[in-house]
Order: sequence, then structure tokens, then C-alpha cells
Amino acid sequence: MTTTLIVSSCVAVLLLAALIWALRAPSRASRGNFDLNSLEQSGRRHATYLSLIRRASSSDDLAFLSKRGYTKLRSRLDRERRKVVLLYLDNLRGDFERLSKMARAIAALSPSVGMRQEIERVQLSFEFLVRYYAIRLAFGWGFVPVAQLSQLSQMVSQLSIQMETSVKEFGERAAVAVRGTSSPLDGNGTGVA
Amino acid sequence: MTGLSTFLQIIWIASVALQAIILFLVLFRRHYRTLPMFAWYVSLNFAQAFLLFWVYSHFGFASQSAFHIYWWSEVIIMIVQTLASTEIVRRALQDYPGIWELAWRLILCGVLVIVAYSWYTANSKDAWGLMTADRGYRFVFAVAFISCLLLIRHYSISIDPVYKTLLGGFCFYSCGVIIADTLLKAQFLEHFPSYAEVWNESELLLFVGVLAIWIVALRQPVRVFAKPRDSSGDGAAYYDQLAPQLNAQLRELNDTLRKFFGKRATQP
Repeated sequence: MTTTLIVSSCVAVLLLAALIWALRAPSRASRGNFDLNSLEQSGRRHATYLSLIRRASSSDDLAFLSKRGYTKLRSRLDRERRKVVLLYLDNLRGDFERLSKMARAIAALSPSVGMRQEIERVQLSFEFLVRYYAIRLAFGWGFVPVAQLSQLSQMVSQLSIQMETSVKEFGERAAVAVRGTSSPLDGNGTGVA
Repeated sequence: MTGLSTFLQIIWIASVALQAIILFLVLFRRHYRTLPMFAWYVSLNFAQAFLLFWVYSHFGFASQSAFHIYWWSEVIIMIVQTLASTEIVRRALQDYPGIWELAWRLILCGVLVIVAYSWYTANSKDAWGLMTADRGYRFVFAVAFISCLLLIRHYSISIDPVYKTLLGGFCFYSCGVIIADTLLKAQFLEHFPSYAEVWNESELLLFVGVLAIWIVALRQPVRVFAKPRDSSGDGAAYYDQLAPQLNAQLRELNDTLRKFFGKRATQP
């Protein structure tokens, strides 16, 4: 009985916590559906730092410093570059979150939402977060998990494909609606062929 | 009334008074137009209070007749509660047909689980079958409707505070009843004195709390009709604006990642 009591009470408390979280007003940052200006900014920011990230990933400079005997400087440079790559990783996560937010906004505006697609997206977000933290942890321990980074990039690509499909569907529906409402036969969208 | 403690009688009268206020607000604020099932729920709850008053006066609180009549009326209330909550979710998502599609599937899953669980517990030999079924109903109800609220939050959908409060109240009451039902059985098995009274009091107190919150919420009017969607103008313009930006951003992001990770991957 004690087990049932503990389990039931825990489940009820968890449900209450979920209820409070669901009823809580969204934070100012996440309020509203999405902002097109922030979408534009995020792309630019990413591109601006690309050359720096490329530089940070290059091992030529480090090899040069090692050859010259500047071991202290080499390790400092390596440390700093890791920080830069981590910042890039954060930026990548930001982009992913922005894309997810847009995907949710598109789904919310769509007249029909696929259950499978939505579950897939939630799964993708969860996977992304797990991989993101795993990579961060690996970086913290001094590893450079290139393969994992590639997987992460694949995930972002996957989401972008999903987004493109959703936007395409959304556009097709909008186009159909436009055609329906501006029929050449009558102005009410109820034209008879 | 025989068998009812003074405290229980007081909170019972308080709950009836609060239900009367809610009924007045539903009629006065014309909430019955937007939420007819909720109006039915409040009316039936109000009627149930009077029916039980008559039953307890005639047969006594601890009688078999009172037990049967209470649980039969409670089943009807539970069905109407589910319908009223579904109606609130439908109203809240009236501008979002896609999300409503997801929500009603969730609710339907919940209803199927409730029916299957009730069927299973009704057929079992457990003397606590009814209580287990009640707890099962509250549990599945809470899971289904809290999931709907989480869905609303996940898609950053802004809903009328009245709908939020009504739905939150139903879910909060269900969570409270889960704990009360569990504690009842624990108290019974531990031979706790007047365990039934504690159960009745805790459930009624929870209900009174929810009713008080609903009164505050129902003083405000709710949005009656869905926002008209001008798909010919705004929708197309919105798409024309969004699609190229989105595609450009995605392409840029993909190119960036491909170049960056491609280069790193080829490094020794």
C-alpha cells in the first residue's frame, strides 16, 4: 500500500507541476509566435562568424607554434579557439531553436497537423539537445568530436528539409485559398466550372 | 442530516452557494452561449447537491441507497465534465484547427483508456474497484487535459484566461482527488478513525477552492466568435514574406554547416 501511496502521490504532484508550468504565462522572450526580424538577424550572425570558425578549426597555426617552441602560447590559443567553437555550437543551437519555433508556428497556423510529423519533431529536438550536451561535455574534457558535430549538422539539415516541406505545403494551401476566394466566375470563391 | 459532521455540512453549503454564484454568472454573463456543456455541468452539479440533500435526509448519509445514488449521479457528472472540458479545449483552439486535431486525438485516447480501465476494474473482485475506477478516471482525465494545456504552451498559443482557468480548475481538482482517493485507502488500511469523513472533507474543500477560482474567472466575458481569417489577403502576403526568408536562412545555415564540418571532418 505504501508503494501505491508513494507512486500515486508522486504522479499527482508531477501532474500538478506540469499543470502549473502549462498555465504559467510564457516568458517575454518566447511570447508571441515568431518575429521575422529575428529570423533575418540569426542568418546574418551565423554567416558573419563563419570565417572565424574556419580559422578556429584549422590546426596549421597550432602546428606552427609547436614547431617554434611556443608551447604556452599554443595551449592558450587552443583553449581560446575551443571557446570560439563552443560559441559557434551555441549559435548552432540558437538556430535550431529558432527553426523549431518557426516549425511550431507554422504547425499552429496550419489547418491540418500530422501527428507523426510533430512527434518526429519533438524527438528530433530531444536528440539534438542530447547530442549538443554530449558534444559540449566532450569539448570540456578536451576531445574534438568531429563525427558528432557532423551528426548535429545533419540534424539541423533534416529540420530544414522538414521546414521547407511544411512551408511548401503551407504555401500551396494559401495559394488554393487565394484561388478559391478570387474566382474569376464570382467574387465569393464559389465559382461553378 | 444524519451522519454528516458540522464541518462537512458547512463546506457542503458553501460549495452549493458557490455553485449558485457560478450558475448566476454563467446565465448573467451569457457564458452558456459559448460554453453550453460547462453550463450543463454547473447545473447538474447544482441539481446533484439538492438530490443528495434529499437522499441523505431520507435514507441517511451512510445508507446503501445514498451510496448508489451518489455514484450513479457522479458518473453522469464525470461524463459531462469530460464533455465540458473538451468543449473548452475546442473553444480555446478554435483559431488553430491543426492543433485542435492533435488535441482531440489526445482526448479520445484518454476516453478510450478510461473506458478500458473502468471495464477492467468493474470486472475485478476488488472491493475498492469503484474507488480505483474513480482514481483511474481522474488520472486519465488529468493526463489528457494537462497534455492539451502543454500542447497549447508548446505551440505558444495564446488562449483566453477564462478557458485557461476553467480547464486548470478541472485538472487541479482531478489531481487533488487522485491524492485524496489514495489517502482514503491508506487511511482505511491503517484503521484511521473517520477516514471517510476526511476523504469527503478533502474532496469538498478542493472543489470549493476550484469554484472560488472559477467565480473570479467567470466575471470576465469570453471571446464568442473565432477571429475571421483572411486567407486571400494576409495569409498570402504572410506566406510571400515568410517563405523566401525562411528558405534563404535554411540554405545559408546548411551551406555554413556543410562547409565548416566538412572541412573539420577531413582534418587528420
